[in-house]
Amino acid sequence: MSERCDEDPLVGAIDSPLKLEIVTYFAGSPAAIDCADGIGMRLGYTGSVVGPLLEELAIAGVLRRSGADRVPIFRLRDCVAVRSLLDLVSSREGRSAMASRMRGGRE
Amino acid sequence: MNRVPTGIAGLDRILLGGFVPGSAVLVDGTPGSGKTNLGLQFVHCGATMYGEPGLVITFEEFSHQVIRDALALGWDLQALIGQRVLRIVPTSPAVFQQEMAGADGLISEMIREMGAKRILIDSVSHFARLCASETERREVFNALVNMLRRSGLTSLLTREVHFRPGLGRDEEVSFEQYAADAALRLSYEPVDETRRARYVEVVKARGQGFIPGKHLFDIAEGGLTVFPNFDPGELTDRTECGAIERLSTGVPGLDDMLEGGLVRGFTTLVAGPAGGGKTAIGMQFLAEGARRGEAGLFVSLRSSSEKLRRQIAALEVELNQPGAAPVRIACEHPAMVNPYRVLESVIADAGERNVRRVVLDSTGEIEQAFNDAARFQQWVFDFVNRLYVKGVTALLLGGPVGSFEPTELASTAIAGIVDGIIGLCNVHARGEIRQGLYVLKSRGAGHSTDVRPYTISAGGLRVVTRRVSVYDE
Repeated sequence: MSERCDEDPLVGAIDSPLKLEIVTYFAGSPAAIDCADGIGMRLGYTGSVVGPLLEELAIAGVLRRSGADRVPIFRLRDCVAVRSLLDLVSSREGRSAMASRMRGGRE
Repeated sequence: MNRVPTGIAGLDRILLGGFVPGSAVLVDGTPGSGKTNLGLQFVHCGATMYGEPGLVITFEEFSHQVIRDALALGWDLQALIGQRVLRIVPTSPAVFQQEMAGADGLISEMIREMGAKRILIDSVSHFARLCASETERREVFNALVNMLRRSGLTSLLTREVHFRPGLGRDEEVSFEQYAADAALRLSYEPVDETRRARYVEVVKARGQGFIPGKHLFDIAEGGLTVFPNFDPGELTDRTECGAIERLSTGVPGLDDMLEGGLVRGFTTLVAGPAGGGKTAIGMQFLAEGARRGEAGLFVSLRSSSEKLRRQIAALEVELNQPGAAPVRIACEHPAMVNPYRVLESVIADAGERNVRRVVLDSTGEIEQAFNDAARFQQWVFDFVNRLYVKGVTALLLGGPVGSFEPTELASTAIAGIVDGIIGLCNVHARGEIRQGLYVLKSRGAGHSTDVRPYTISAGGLRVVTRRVSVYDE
């Protein structure tokens, strides 16, 4: 069963190029289940760089975080709004629009 | 016994049906040997052919890369993901271990939810990241294998193999091989300076039999095709063990030298110099069979179909006469020859078209494709035995390069493997070159020991029937 969440806050949560990169990674690998170190390594960063951003994306409702008493594990939330977000970042136009928004609307 | 078929053509024959259900199978190999493709095909076939959902755990690739690479082989993994019979899970070894260990782990939950029966873990070499010592690696791997066994999944675990200076690859025995229930070893070996060939070998398989040895395989559209070596157990499948049946060769004078003709189901090497008439003998043999209602197959690994038809026309040998059984000509470019694919197509023709006579031209291309005497001999052994089981009578054209003296021919590597040997030679006698034919070997049957002169003209090759030798006036 899909979870319900609002779309706008999710799009708004993608406020940095690295967050966009993380969400794009999950869009291409929707069943990924990994820790900050693992995701960081795949994207060419360290866990300490991507870790705080993964936490923020979890708080925003894009990702699910588990492993309260262990190493935090991240995966996609399964809901309509997240799927819409993934559709958006999966297209070149969508990514381009989001990148433009991050730059304050400057092309 | 119940088996989990891989769905990979040839591999299930080697495994006598597939893996024991719930096995943890190690697939190790060098880069490019086909480990991931084999694993993906196992999972893909499970979902598409056997109704067994599967999971792909990847520690290095992105899902879209796996999907793209699989699509290049003709497997639409995206569609299977949509049908919820496949999941590709990019993760890290530590996370996998943690989320698979407990019943409430995310991966355990995923397996339960989709009813997964198969899993590919690509590759277990990454577990080394978690370990500070060899002992720890061993413990981690043992725990992984036990965890997989407990889950009831049939698992394929790929592992990278590295060459070590001074240590041949075959000598490397890993602790993973000891711990796994079954172990396959893939290799991608140089044939010569420009070519490589892939082999698969079952190193161990607990609780099941298998065909031993290194078996050639290909990766092409559709995935892997394995070409199993001959299984001696197949000989028991042959039921025609009655009296020896002689088949006319269609070459005037030759049947007389063979005391009635070739023995059904036997393979005879026809060796001789270029232009000696080997192809003519092959064509006459097939034309004779066709006249007698036996379908034939001519496999040329050196001539194009067009050239061959011209050669046949020049010889005036009628291959496809009205009312006769069909004779098929199959040509393959020498540079593209895969000896075991050739053998498989011959066996397939024997089954599907009821082909009873086969001519293969020539052993030289087969030998060149292997560039390895032992493998060439193994192939000839497989050819001879698999055709025997099918009751197919065959001529292998070619033979050794160099002199065609009987003593030299008898000492060639495959002389002991083939059932018969017919030699063609040029003899310098009394100021002229004469062409002579002799029968050097005819297993279990008598034959002439003469070297008899022959001619080639319209209708093909003709052996002089009177008992004169090429040395006579």
